[in-house]
Amino acid sequence: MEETIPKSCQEIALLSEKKQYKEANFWERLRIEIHILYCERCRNYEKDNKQLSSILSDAKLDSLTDEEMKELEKIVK
Amino acid sequence: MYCNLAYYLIIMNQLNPDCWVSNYSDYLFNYTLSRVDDREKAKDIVSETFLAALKSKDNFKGDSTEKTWLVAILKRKIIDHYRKINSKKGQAEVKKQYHSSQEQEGDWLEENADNEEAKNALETLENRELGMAIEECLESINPRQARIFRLKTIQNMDTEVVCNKMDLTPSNLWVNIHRARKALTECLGDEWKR
Repeated sequence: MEETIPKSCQEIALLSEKKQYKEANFWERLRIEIHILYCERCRNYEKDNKQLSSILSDAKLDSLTDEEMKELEKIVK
Repeated sequence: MYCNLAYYLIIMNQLNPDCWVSNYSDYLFNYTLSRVDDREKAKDIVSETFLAALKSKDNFKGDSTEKTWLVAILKRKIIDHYRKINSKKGQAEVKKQYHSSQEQEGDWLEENADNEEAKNALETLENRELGMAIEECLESINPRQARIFRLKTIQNMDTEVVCNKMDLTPSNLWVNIHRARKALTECLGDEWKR
């Protein structure tokens, strides 16, 4: 499936991820905006991605840090 | 990565304690957190679970997967935790603040049922549930991608740090993040869309 997606859209998708983590610069954000003007697929992806970000920030998610994992490893061994 | 490969051997229903921590600790930890709202306690319960599992390793018959078996032990440990709390008799406490009578105007029940604390509790519960749904989805995707996603999204690490830790180039990192997020969106489905 992945191969059928145009190269430009694949690039936009990666920029879209960068944007979700606030790491896309002005030109990258502009590139997304221009691209989604005429590309429906990417427009939808951008919308879903934004939604996923808001879900992720609402959810109470926690993860063990590497140190905590190492502590656990010690216990199991 | 060894445990990444071992992931594909799980189907054979054999125990592989060396990989327990890297494969299941995040899942078990979040499972516990959704039931015991205390980070430190949750960590203790997870390590107790691993210890108990190691002890009764020989009782594992391979009827279920390793993960199901670990979750079953974890459930018992969580119940034990609540038994311990409840056995401290006389320490039960009703967390309810009654307003002074001057402030009240309308129906007593209505005013008291609608307190902030109950609302927050419900919200916390819903968000924990949502967290669990995400956790279930993360389990179904490639463990390395899931770990990269966790480091970046949940632990809010800098791109550079994650790249060093996981031995990635920045563009590789974004490809991994993209795959993980795409899989997550598909897995979560429409149910959680607002």
